[in-house]
Parts: sequence; structure tokens; C-alpha cells
Amino acid sequence: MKYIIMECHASYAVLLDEKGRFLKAANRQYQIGQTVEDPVLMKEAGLGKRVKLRAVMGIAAAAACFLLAFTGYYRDYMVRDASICLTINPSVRLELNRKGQVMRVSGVNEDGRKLLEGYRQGSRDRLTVTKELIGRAMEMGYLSAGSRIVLDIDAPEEAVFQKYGVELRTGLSEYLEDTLEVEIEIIRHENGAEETSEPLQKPEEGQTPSPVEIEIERKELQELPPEEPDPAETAPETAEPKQEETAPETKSRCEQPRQDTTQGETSGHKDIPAEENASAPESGSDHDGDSGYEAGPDYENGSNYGEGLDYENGSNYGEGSDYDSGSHYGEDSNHDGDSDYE
Amino acid sequence: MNEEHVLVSQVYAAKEDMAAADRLISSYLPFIKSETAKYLKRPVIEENDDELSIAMIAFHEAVRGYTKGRGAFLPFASMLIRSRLTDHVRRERRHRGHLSLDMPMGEESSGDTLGMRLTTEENGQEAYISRDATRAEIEELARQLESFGVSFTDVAENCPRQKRTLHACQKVMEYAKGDSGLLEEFLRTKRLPAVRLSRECHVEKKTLERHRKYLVALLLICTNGYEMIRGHLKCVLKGGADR
Repeated sequence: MKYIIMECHASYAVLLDEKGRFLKAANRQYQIGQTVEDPVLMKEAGLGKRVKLRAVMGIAAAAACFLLAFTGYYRDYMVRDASICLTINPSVRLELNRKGQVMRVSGVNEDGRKLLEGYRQGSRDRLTVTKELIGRAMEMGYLSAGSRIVLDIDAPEEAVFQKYGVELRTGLSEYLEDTLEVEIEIIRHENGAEETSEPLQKPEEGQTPSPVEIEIERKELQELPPEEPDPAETAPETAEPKQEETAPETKSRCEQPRQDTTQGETSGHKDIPAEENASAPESGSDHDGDSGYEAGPDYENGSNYGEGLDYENGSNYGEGSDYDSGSHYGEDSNHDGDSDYE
Repeated sequence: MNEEHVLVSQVYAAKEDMAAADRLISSYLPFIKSETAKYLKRPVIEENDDELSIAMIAFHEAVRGYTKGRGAFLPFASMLIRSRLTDHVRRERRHRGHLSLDMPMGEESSGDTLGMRLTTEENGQEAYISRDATRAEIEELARQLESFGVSFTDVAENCPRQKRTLHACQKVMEYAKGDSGLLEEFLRTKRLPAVRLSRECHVEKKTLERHRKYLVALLLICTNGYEMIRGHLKCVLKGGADR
């Protein structure tokens, strides 16, 4: 590359290269108009790089801070943490974030989608949204007196489930108190297990359920429906002298799950004749059963479901839960047991 | 301490102003000489040593690149001078064993050099004449630039560094060469017709305005009477062969 010297100064010269660039270079006794080939060009200050690097670092730091801050926000507010599936007949799913706010509402079935048509979620509060949806369902005629509302709560932790359950139950009961008579059922979604089922005839009772009522007894799902009655029935036959012990068992069979208050309880005493047993459910009081059942050591704990069987085998808990689901079964077996003893 | 402050403020003033930098260098010439002599381990001959001019340009770079965060100015300049001299010595190593055209010939006092004594076709009368003609053109160009309020140093400061921008400016020059009406108007009004050029050459108006001084020089070269300089820029004017 050739350069023409354009201007000479004491400490530098201005050169014109073939590409039309004007450059500064060391003036090695050049004269104007001279053509040179190997000038010592002046380097442009390398300051730019350093400034650029600093700017880039600043931006990177800001980005990192933003990311850090946002990740926390994102985890709390944007990620689905729990969901509530509200089923009347229309089934609707509310997705909640970690803070318990409703992020999204979606219809699970056809009616659910119909229910949500034109619905604009005004609030992020789970209770408000649930109430709004139930209100809509009533308007659209999905919900009438005596129907059932199932709230299937899918929560990561027991405590969260409890909190949501209590809040929704109390809130909804208050909300529906003077409009409709419905049954509210709260279920924990985990494994499809039913955590609570507390049908509520609230207007008659006049009492809204206290949070304590919802406190759930976890019942393991060892349901062995066909096998269970057998050990229970064989037990009394094989061990005749252990009448006292079999007695509680029969009693436990008769005893209905707590919620079935209308059914009442039968007295579990062995000596009581079958007729009495049959009549017992109507008049049935817990104390009868208690008095006939002094022997039970665990009695105070209230875990009297099939306690008698505790001595024989450990499957009685399963039986207990079995009775929960089928209230009539208990009565039938009771009769059977009595007839056997006779 | 106070001296240092004065020097730093002078350096900062000289960053933007080449004339001020030139003055600063003349006043610090003894320092530059001594640094060069220290490096060469021999006294410096002012007229004859390339090293001194390189040291001076290194001082220029020091002025440009200096910030307060880099410590005291003089040690910084001294470091830069030494590294530039090292660069130079390394580059010159390939010429070892060759004679220099600027080597003194005959008696020291006569000032003759080898280059003056040798006569080749290039180096003869013709070359001398062409150099004279070029010099005349350059001086004329400098005068014309002055009427625009621009010096060659300004043009060099304003010269585009990025390839793309340079190409854009070359495109403008190419177009202007073929449009004598535009050049006449430019000479008459002494204004860069940026809007028109931007429209015709498809170059951002902002680019043209940023490199106004440089473009003024280029457009002046396109006008009549700068045959030698245009000859030098042949490869650009031919149609961007370098592109």
C-alpha cells in the first residue's frame, strides 16, 4: 500500500492511502507530496475496549440481578402449585400459584366449559372465584337444592390442603347458607384418595362446621372388601370364650361412620338379642355401646372401629373404612353375627 | 504535585486538539529524546533518527489513551514509548543487512544521502517533477479546505474507521464524480448536499453528517485540478475494486 504525505507537523504527518483514508503517522522527515510505503501509523487509542467491557459487565450484572429477583417472583406467582377441581355437574379446575392466587380457570367437561363461557375472572382470590362460579352455576340452573358440590383439592402439602379446605368450607357454607341447601364435599386429590367426605345438612343443624370438623383422619387404603367379613365371622366361632372380644367387633360393625348421624349406632354388646340390635339403630346412643364394652383397652382413644378384631388380625382398620363407604353393610353383618351366636 | 495536575489538564486538552498535542510534544521533546536515548543506549540525532519520530507518535498515542485511572502521565508515556520502539525494532529486523537510501554519503556536513546519489528511472527527474506536481496539488487542496474551515488533521480525525462506513463514503465519492452539477453547487454554496447525496446513494443521512469533514475533502478531490491525487486513489474511483 502506498501513502501520499498530505501534511507535515513536528510530531506527526497526515497521509492519504489508496483507499481514500486519511491517517496519522510518525513524521520521519517526510515532505509534502512524497509517496511512502511503510509509515509508522498512529494506533487509535485502545480505550474503547476497556469501556466496552465495563459496560457489558454492568449490563450482565443488572441482568443477573433481574433474573434473581424474577426467579423468586416466578416461582411464587407464575408456577402452578395447587389446583382445585370444583365439580357440581359442570366441572371446573382452578389453578393456584404458591401464594394461593387463582392463575387460570378452565373447564374440565363440556358443562364446565359452558359455565365458563363469557366468565371474566375478576379477582385472584380463590374463595371469591369459587363463589362466583357457584353463583353462575345457580344462575344457569346447574345447582339446585340438595345437590352436591365436590371440591377436589390437589395440594402439595397436607397443611396447604387443610388451609384451603377449611377456608373454602367455611366460606362456601356462609355463602350458601340462606340461598340453597347443598352438600359440600372436600376431597384431597392425592392418589384419588378420599380424605374427607362430610355431607352437610347445614340449614337444619344451624351450625356451620368449625375447622376442627374438617380435620381429617387419614384412612389407609387397604380396602379388602371381599375378604374382610370372613375373618370377622370366623373369629367368634373359633374362639367361643372370647365373647367379650368379639362383641366389640360386632359393635364396631354396627357403628356407623361419624357423619352418618341419621343412622345412629347400634349397641355392640354380644348379649343383646338380635331384635334389640335391630331396633337399636333408631334409638341408638353411643353410651350403650360404651357400657357394654369395658374391656376394650383402646377405647378412650376413640379408635374403636373394629377393635375386637385387633386381637385376631390387623386388617380391622380396613374393615372400618369399609363401613364408612357402605352404611347398610354394617347392619346386615350385624344381624349375621347375632344369628351365629344364637 | 501541582505540576502533575497542570500536565494532566494539558493532556486532557490535547486529547481532542491535535495542535495542542503538537505544542505539548514540542515542550516535552527533551523528555521524549531522553526516553529514546535510554532505549537506544546512545545519543539521538534529531534529523536522522526514525526512532525519535516514532517516540513522538507514541507520545501522541499516550496523550490520546491516557486517563486518570492509569496513574501518572509521564511513566505511562514512557512505557508506551518504549513498547512502540520495541515494535519498531522488531519490524526493522527484516531489513538487517540492507543499506538505507537515507544513509549519509560522503562528508557528514554535505547532507547528501545514498538516495540522492542513486539514479534510477523512478528516482530520476520525472519522479521529482511528479512529486512537485503532487505537492502543488496538495497545497491547493489545503487552501481550498481552509475555505471550508477544515484542515488535513481534521480530515484525518474525521476519517471513518469502520469498513462499512468507508464504503459508504466511497460510494458518495463515486456518485459525486459523475455529477458535475452537484460539485459546482457544492463549491458555490460551500455546503455538503447531504440530503441529495443520501437520497441518490442510499446512504444514511446521519452517516454523511458524521463524516462531513472527510466527505468535504473527498468531494474537493473530485473537482477539477487534482489529477495526481485522483491517480493515487485510482482503485477507489475505478468503481470500488477493493470492495
